Parts: sequence; C-alpha cells; structure tokens
Amino acid sequence: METQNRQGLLLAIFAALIILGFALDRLGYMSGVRVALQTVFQPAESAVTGAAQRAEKLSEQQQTVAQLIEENNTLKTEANRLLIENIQLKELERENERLRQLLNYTRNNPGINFEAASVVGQVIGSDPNNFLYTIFIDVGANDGVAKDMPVVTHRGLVGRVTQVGPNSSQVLLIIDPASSVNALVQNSRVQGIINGELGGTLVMERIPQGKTVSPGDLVLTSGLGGNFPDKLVIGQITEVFQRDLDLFQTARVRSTVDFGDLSTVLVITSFKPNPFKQELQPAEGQN
Amino acid sequence: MILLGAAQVSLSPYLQWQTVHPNFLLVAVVAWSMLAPFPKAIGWAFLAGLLLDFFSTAPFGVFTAAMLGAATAANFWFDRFAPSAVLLPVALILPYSIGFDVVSLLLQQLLGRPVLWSGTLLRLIVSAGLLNLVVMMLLYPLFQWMERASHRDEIML
Repeated sequence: METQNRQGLLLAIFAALIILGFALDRLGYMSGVRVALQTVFQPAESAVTGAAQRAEKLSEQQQTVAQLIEENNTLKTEANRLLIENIQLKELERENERLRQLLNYTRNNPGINFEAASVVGQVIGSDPNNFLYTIFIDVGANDGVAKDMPVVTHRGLVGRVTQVGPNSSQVLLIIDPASSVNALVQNSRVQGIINGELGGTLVMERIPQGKTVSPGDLVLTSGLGGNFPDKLVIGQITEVFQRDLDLFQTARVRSTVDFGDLSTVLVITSFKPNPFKQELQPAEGQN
Repeated sequence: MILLGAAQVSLSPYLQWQTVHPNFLLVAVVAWSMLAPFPKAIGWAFLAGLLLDFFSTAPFGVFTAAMLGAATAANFWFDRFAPSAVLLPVALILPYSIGFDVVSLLLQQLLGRPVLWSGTLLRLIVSAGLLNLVVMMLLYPLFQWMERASHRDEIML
C-alpha cells in the first residue's frame, strides 16, 4: 500500500513538472532552454555526424571498379545531356532578359543573389521523433542566420529556420505537417497552399475548382504572404483529386528535394520575411 | 541516457528505413523499466522524455508524458520474468512502441497539431516499432547483464 502511494506521489510530481514545463513553453520561456541545450550538444552532434559521414565514405570506397566504371559512363552521358540542356537554358535566359527589357518589366522583389547572401549549413541532426520533420544545421546567429529565413538546396525549397542558437539552428522542413507554403503551379499560374503530411509527402490544397492542374506540373513558391521568396522550386504534381462536391481541388506533390539525403543546405540570409499582421487601420477621417 | 539522446539526434538521418528511424531512448526506457524498480524506471523515463521534448518542435511535455506512460506500463513486468528470459521482453517492445507513438500523436492532436490518421501513419508507426524491435534485441541483453552485474556488486557489499 505504501509502495503504491509512493509510486502515485512520484507520478503526480512528474505530471506537475510536465504541466509547469508546458505552461512555460506556451509563455515562450522554454525556447531559451532549447537553444542553450542545442548549443551544448552542437559539438557532439558535429563530431558524431562527421564520424558517420566518414564511415559512409569508407563504405562507398568499397565499391568495385566495374561498378565505378559503369557509373562513370552513365555520369558522362548525363553530363553531356545536362550540358546541352544548360546551353538551351542559357539561351532562354538571354531571351527572357531581352524580353524583360523590352517590356520594361520590373519585379517588386529583386532576384536573390544566392552566392552573395547565403550561408551553407551542414546538417548535424534531425528531430529525434519520427513524426516531426526538422533538422539541425551548424550555422546560427553568428553566421547571420535569423528566425524564419528560407532554407534551400540546389534542388529546391527545404524549409525555414524556426530556432536560432549562436552556432546552430533548427529548420522546419516543408514536409512537416505544421509547415504551410503559398505556392503556384508554373504552367497554369493556379495558386494553392502546400502542406506537409506525415510520411514525408506534400499536398497542395485550396486549388480553386475549374482550374486545370495536371500530373507533371511544376509547383513553385508564390511569394504571397511574404514568408518565402517567390519562384523557388517545391516539387512536381503527381496526383490530382477533384470532386464536384468539394469547394477546392487537392493535389499530391512530390518534392524535388530528397529529404532522406540532406547533408548540406543553403540559408538565404538576404531574404527578410514579412509576416502578415492582422491590424486594421482606421480609415482617414473616421472616428 | 544523454549520450543516447545525442546519438539519436545526430544519427537519425543515417539510420533511416522508409523515412523512419529507431527511438533509442524509448527502447532504453522500456528495457530498463522491465528490469529496474519503479522509482529508477520513472526517473530515467522523465529524463529521456525531457530530452525528446527539448530537441523537438512539438508542444513541450508531449514526449515526457508518453514516456512516463510507457515506463509505468513496462514496469508491470518488473520481477515477473525469469532472470534469463529474453524473447518475451524483447517482443514486448512492439506494443509499447506503438502505444508510445499513438499516445504522443494523440496528445499532439489535442494540443492543436495536425495529425492525419491514415494508412501512411499506420505504416510509419509499424515501421518504427519493427526498427525498435531490432534495437531492443541488442539493448535488452546488455541492460540485463548490467542489472545482474550491479545486483552482484550489491550482494558482495
């Protein structure tokens, strides 16, 4: 009986501590503790990640010469194909530039210079839980990283910075269910919202009925809301769900980024997020 | 426990199978709860839960609460297995792992995070359970040996 009482008391104490922690978290006092803990763990994480990467490299070196020759041939073919594609794209870029000048086209947000305004972060860890998609990178406030900055790779949008320590940051991936990105379909310019789903997939919601979206269409950030720059590649539509009774269509999107193989990312430090504030200003002359 | 937490955060990108990685901390807590008395088990569970909460974006307390639940349930088996039993304790990680994931997701849903209870989710929970089973096969005999060694030391004293 006494043992049961002691066990109950222990559980009650821990339950009270959890409730206290939850309340402190809601009031915003826990973020400091989280950042401090991440800062303490950062050297250990970097060391473990370095060791794991070295082990991975060693195992890669065990590949047979035949496999490497075959891979080399495939890569040469791919490189040739990409070279031709690159030349074509450069031509298109020049043409695009000429057309812009002709139309006196100016964008509201000038293009982001990725080389001059970004920091490269090495992925040093990920969320210890299976149903939350965040990563830790080894760049932080000392490198110019701030909260809400977009994170990309050469393949497309990865996510945004949610927590910043002196030398490390936490990034919420776009595949996390808590992530939401305003997007548009490249061909039809139809807008929608990209949300993450458990299992690491993306779904595009709020696509108006009557608008044409098809599998294979490329999805880009729209820049609406000011949380992300526009024209960042998100992924490709794989499936469209359309029912006449629904207000909106939904599409499944395959991200161009391989989230299972993230090692280096780019934080766009020149982009300043502009969160929408719901403040109603009284009209002039109105009391 | 802190080392296991650091290893889980750092190695999870490398130990993925079908976008899921093992939960070393949960496996350690369940194994320890089957072998140690309640106060010890619950203490380790609290520490492990805190580590998960500190490194996660979920509302604070979700994983600590789920971990305390898992430890309390696993401690039911304390002193009920034969000292050499391995198979049943190892197999039990599967229901405890599934229970831990379901409870933590339910708590997250209650606190306003979107959770989709679909086939994908079931696939993730079961995959995580199977990975935890593999880790338990390695960790449980180790913990059993550690517990026996510490018990021997106490008797000798």
